[in-house]
Amino acid sequence: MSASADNTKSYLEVNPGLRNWLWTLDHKRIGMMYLFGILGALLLGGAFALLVRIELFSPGLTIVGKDWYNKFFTLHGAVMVFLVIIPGIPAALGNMVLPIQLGAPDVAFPKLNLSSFYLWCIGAILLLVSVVLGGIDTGWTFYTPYSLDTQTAVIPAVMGAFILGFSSIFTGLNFLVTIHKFRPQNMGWFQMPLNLWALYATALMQVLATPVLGITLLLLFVERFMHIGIFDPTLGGDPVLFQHFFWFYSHPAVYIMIVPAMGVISEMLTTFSRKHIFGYRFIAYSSVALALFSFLVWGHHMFVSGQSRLANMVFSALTFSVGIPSAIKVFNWTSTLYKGDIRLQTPMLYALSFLILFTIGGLTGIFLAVLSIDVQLHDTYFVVAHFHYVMMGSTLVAFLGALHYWWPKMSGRMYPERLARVCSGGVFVGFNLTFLPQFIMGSRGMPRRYWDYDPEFTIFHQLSTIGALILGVSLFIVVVYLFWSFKNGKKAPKNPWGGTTLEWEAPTPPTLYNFPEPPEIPELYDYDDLVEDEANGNWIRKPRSGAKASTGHH
Amino acid sequence: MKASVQKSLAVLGLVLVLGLGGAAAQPAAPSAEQPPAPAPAATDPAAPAAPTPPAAPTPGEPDTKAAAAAPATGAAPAAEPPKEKAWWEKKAEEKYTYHGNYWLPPSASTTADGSDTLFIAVLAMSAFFFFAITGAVIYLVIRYRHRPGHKAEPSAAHSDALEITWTIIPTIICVLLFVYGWRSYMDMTAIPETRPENQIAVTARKWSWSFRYYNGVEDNVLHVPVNQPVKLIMTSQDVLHSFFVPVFRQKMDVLPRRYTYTWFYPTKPGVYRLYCTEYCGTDHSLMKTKVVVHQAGDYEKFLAESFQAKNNVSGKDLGMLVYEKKGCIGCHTLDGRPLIGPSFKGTWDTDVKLADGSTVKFDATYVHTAIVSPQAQARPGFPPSMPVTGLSEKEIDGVIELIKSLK
Amino acid sequence: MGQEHEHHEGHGHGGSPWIQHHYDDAQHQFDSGKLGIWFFLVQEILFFSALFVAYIVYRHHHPEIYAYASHYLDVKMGAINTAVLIVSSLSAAWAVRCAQLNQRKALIACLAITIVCAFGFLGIKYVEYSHKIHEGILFGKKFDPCVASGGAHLINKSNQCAGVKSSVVWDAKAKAASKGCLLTDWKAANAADPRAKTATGAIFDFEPERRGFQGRCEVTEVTYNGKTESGRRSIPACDAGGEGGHGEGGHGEAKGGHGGGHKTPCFELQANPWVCADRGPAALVHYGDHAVRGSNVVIEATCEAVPPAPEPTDAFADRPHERTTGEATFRHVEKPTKHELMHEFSNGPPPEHTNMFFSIYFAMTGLHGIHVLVGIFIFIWLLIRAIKGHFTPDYFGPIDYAALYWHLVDLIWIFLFPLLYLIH
Repeated sequence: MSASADNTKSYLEVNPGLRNWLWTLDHKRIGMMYLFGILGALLLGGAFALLVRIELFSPGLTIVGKDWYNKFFTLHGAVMVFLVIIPGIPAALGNMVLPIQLGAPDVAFPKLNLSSFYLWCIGAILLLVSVVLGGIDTGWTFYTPYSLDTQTAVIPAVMGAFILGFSSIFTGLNFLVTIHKFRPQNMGWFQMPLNLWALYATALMQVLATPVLGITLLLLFVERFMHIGIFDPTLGGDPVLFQHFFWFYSHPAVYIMIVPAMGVISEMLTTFSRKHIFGYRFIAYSSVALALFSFLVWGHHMFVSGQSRLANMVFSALTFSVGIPSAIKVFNWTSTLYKGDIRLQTPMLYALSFLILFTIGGLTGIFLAVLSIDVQLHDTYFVVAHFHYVMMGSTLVAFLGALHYWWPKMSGRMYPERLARVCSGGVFVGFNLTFLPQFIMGSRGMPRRYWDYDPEFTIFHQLSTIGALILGVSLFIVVVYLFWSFKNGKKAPKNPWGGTTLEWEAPTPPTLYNFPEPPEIPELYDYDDLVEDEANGNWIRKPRSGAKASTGHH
Repeated sequence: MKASVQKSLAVLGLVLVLGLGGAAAQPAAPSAEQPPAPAPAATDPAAPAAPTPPAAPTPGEPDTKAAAAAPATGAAPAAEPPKEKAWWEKKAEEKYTYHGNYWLPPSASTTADGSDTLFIAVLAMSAFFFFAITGAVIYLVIRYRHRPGHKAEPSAAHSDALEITWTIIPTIICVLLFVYGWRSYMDMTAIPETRPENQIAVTARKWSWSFRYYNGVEDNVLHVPVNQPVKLIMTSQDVLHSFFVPVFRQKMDVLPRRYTYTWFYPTKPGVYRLYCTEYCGTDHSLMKTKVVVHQAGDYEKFLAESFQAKNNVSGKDLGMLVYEKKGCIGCHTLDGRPLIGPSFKGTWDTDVKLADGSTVKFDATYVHTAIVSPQAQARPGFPPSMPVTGLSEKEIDGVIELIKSLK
Repeated sequence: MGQEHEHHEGHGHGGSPWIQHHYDDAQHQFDSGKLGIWFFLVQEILFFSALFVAYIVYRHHHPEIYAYASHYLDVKMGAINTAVLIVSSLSAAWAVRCAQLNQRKALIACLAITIVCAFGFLGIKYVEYSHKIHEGILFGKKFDPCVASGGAHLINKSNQCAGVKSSVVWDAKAKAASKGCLLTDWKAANAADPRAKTATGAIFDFEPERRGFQGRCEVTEVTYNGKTESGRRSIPACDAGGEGGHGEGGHGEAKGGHGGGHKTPCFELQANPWVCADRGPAALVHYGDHAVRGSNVVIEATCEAVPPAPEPTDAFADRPHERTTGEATFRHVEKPTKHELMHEFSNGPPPEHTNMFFSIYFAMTGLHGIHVLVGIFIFIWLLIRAIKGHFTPDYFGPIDYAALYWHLVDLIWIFLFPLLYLIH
């Protein structure tokens, strides 16, 4: 690792100028650029969601026409899944934090990293092109044969998602090689922070599952363009085969979303409890177990698709097995709070929200794993509520928490703490108000993707819309104050939360070459050496004898 | 207590209050009759207006079919009185009432009961774990919150005993849930012997249902007998749809060029809702119809009398019947307004411009071809979404007569 | 390029200027790159996996399609391609060795051989594909071949075998044959039918309900493209027992050449009950030339009835059937083996949705071909760099990784070849 003579400026200030940013090979700059893009996409996807919810405030057509409603829920799904949640934590925060936490100078393939970012941009542009060309109305799942017949701009959207898939694959590949090859000698697998375990498991899924999405979308594209016949029943194809291919990726995809969230939650819970995480090994193992098991359960999205009962039985059994590692994690996280010293700053509020909301999300998944109950609940609002609890109530909440957690390190500024706490409350209240009524609607029989509904569901829809507005406003304020704090936030100290992982030893914000001197690896999750300096809102590490410096990598 | 902790508690309290308040507000409240689904209201001039406010700025979107259908009889020649409805059609328009419990719709079949017990069991288990974990989190956060002088106490960083316990217990619960779930699922999908009269062929298309009964009659309301097993053989004419009756707790996707099967054993006479639950395009939300569970004896009466009615019908009346029951009404009006497809009114014997530039006469051959090979005569301005409807020659003649009568 | 990771000459890493700064040393960079390319290859396998799964699923459900359609493929071409790719894999591996041993000239030669072989592969693919395009043997809706899988000619365009746009159109209602037969211009008779506009070909269907050729006819007059030829001598007869097809497939006889030797189309009546299994007997007019298709053809022929063919039987009529009554006299029953069944399938008739085979074929070989093309670009880039002398024993990672990629491409072809070409 080279120590350049001029490594005093932070990565934000050194080599300024747009060109230097756009051609950067520095993982932190790439992470920051991803963050801008992802937050922008979050607002776009959220706008589509609000249009959907406002339309649903009363039965019948209100503010939009039928086809536009169908396009809005499709675009909400496509933008959120492909542009926000799947890249989310790994691309924006993983890129920023992973090499530093590992003690590495950068990721293994910096140019590939930059290409990943540009592929994300190209994918985003193609999705926007499809919006401009009138949008798509197939549902984000693109089920055939409807997606073959519809006259909407499916092709640019599918091309965009295909390219976004490669962005994801390359990020995953990069992280895998980095963790294998750039760990310092004295950081074995079980001395890695749990965040890195989670990113590793995620990267495994990204590399193994996303190509299947790639070929599926490629076949869909070719089918639409050239009528190749593979999914079109009138030509001999099989529309259910599309579902198998699609969900073979899309189920691991939801674990690509949640596993990094679990990783950052582990970090935040331990830091804000001031004690070692409970059950480190089990949490680490369960991350990898989730990654592997997630490939076995795709059929639970297809219980009523006409597939055989034997297949249904097998998938139901496997689906239960994939729920167990998540349950273990929740118990371990809760136990981490025991006998801790709990500080309720914003990241911790999000982390605690995650615990509660992920519990609800996971438990409602159990309903859907039971075959006979799923027959009733499939394609109703129950499913919508379940996946929002895990994708938004868990993943997005964890993303926001982690964003606040690492914001001081990344930007060198503090966000406004009181406003942030209020917004976290707004997110929690708004989210629950939006989605709790949807469980009840769903079990009462309200189908999904409906712009018109029977009057007895009205009160639930109205509560849901009000909640969505509260949620939307809170999220919007969060994005605004984060950008505001770049210029106007209080200057951040080096270690505002007293974290023990390696990134808190780096300067705030980090210098270009991560560490001016090779760092000594602190004892993982050992808070005894940190002393709080309350006046400056900082934590200082007591120097220890027998310091361990990193010498070379595995 | 710190302000932030108070806030969190207040937040939780608010959520609980809203949830419970919602519960209190929604006991089995009977609901108003919703605007009837496409066909049975076709000949009812008193059909309620569509719920869309008239000033809605929708870009030329056509209204729901109720409004479209209402003028149907009005547009017919003034000399004809509206057709008298059959008793089974009137039954389909009865009020639908919701007498379920807080979470579930009313149960009207044996397949519902098995899965309901399981639903309540899973709900109870989930509630237990949710309150346990949430309670633990809240308790621990309050008990171990930071205050001046408070420090974290030493504690174990792991416990294999605990890990094993809380792996094994959830595993056992999951195994039990899987087994019971599978057993009740087998009940829902193992189709018992059904009499041929109780086997109904279901056809789904964008965006309506039609059901063909043992006697050959087609209707777009599902009529079934009470206390007998009923089997459905289902196929789609175009894209994926899904057959869902909440009160039967039964659902099965309907695929093009394949047959899927489902069954139920209705236990309560009444009129219930049937939805499409696989997104299928523009009017997916409107692809609803009714299920009429007939009391003992009435179903056989329905079969006998509808057969008579069908055979007695020909020409224009048959055409009207086909128009209403076989889905034409979903895309074509009789009063001149274009919907997804052109209107039937005033088109007979005119010149029609086709998408390839040629012009053909709107005569019997044209109509015949349009029904048999819909895509062969693509017209500009209308999407190529008309499915192949499989009408018989007699039915096609009827439709031709109907269109002729509207010129 | 970011200034942060520029290449400095000899900046403390020793040797190659291509070692990037964030690596400890050349070995570190090589190891990381190696791990990276392996992960990449794993995801490439998964990328192809869906196509293999589709192949398996469709083959399981429709073995008859594969049995029949596989004869459209030329095994010879496929085998040559396999050999070419294996040679190129060898030269790629050798290139790695040359780089390791600092043999610059040999390295360039090996890279060049790899590129040449890759071009060869694509060239043969071009030949195969262009042939298929010419004959209308494409995927999905475009499957509209001029030949049956055995090479026999088919009449083209809109037919009634659902999903297969080949073979004969349909029957015009002709009166039953007795002596002499009625000529029918079915296009005029079916003018209202929209398919009449683009249909070509004509069938004289003597007894639609019965299989087997019902009449023996001789063409006396033919009108096509506006001109009329009449008289036995003027109407070009097709070569009886000509060579099979256009070189694809070797099973079955083919009547008539593909315009080979004939400037004008030839006409003859032939019975081809295999063409559309559910269409009943038909006498087909055989068009020997593409030029006639699409034009209005009127054919006059004299026919005489022949004794009706025996009752249609199933393909296994000559095998002893199992008795189904409860009698005690059971004989040992020979059910046809899978092999025999596949053989029957491969003779025709074209199963419904034969196009699906080609959908899978073009998807798999097309995707593979794109990977070969990308490989060509990569190897050309490596060749340029090798000529410039970038590779040393210290730094040959790109060659190693590209060779690994190339081996995977070769391996995928080695799976594709038997699955598509060599199956029965």
